[in-house]
Amino acid sequence: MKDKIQESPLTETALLVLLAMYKPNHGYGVMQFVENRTHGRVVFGPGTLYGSINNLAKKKWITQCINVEGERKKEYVITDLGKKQVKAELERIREVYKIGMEITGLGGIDND
Amino acid sequence: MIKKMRIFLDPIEGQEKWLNERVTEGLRLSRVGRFIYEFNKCEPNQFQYAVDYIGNKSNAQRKEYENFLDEVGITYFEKPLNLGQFSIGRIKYRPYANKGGKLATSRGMINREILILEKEYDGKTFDIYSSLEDKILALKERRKPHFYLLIFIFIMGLYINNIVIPPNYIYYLWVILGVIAILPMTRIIQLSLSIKSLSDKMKINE
Repeated sequence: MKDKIQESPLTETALLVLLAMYKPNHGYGVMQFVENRTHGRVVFGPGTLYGSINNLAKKKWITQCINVEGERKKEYVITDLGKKQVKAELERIREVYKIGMEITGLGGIDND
Repeated sequence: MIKKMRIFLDPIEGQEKWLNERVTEGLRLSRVGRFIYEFNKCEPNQFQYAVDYIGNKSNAQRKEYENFLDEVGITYFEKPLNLGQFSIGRIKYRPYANKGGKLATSRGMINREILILEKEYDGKTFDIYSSLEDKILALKERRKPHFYLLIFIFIMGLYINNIVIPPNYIYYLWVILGVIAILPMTRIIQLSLSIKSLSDKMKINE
């Protein structure tokens, strides 16, 4: 089984697409999810989103849902392997975040 | 309906800028041919345009990409780009394309190297590629045909050398080829500079 976790950090694009697909979602839904959740800071271009979805599907981090009849839009959902990647990435971010908080003296928020 | 004729030396950024200028005048693209653009009236700035290079995609990849654009609600126009393609009869060889796109034989692949994307104006810039990584990749794909065009011109130069015509004419032909070679060379330099500045930025940002 190829479910080794990728060591290097994920791009923000990949992480956000994976998060948007914890529930079955299609391209337009992912665009809206990301724009809403980041309050418009991240707006995916169509080329970037298309490339990212294809890449993640190729890596089997997301998988295409069985199409509902009459529904033309392709829906994807995150796989277990994808979830493992997200978890590893969040741990990495948490580590950097903690270092940052300690050094800058802004800490004391995240102690658990 | 308003018709305009236009040829672009810079078919991506140049065309993008020109279309966005037209829409400030209240002109919305309705049809596009090789050189002719047809517009309908709209509210000034009601839409915005971005131009994408898809000559590296195979026919199946292009269709998939277009389906995706339909899904996310973006209108598009297909347009030819005639650079870096070598044709023999109805077959075109595109050495710069990805796997499956190198030999363009089906109707679907020839003369559809560019997509003009349209969406309603939302106050933000219309970027097809929103991450630095993707922007660099897209520029590299656009650079490829120019390399092949240069190689082609070079081979033509060698070929001219071997045909039997008065030497004077050979010099003329070389000069013509040299002038033709200036465009791809300029584009390679421009694209390489853009790639370099984006790569420098990426070293900090991602």
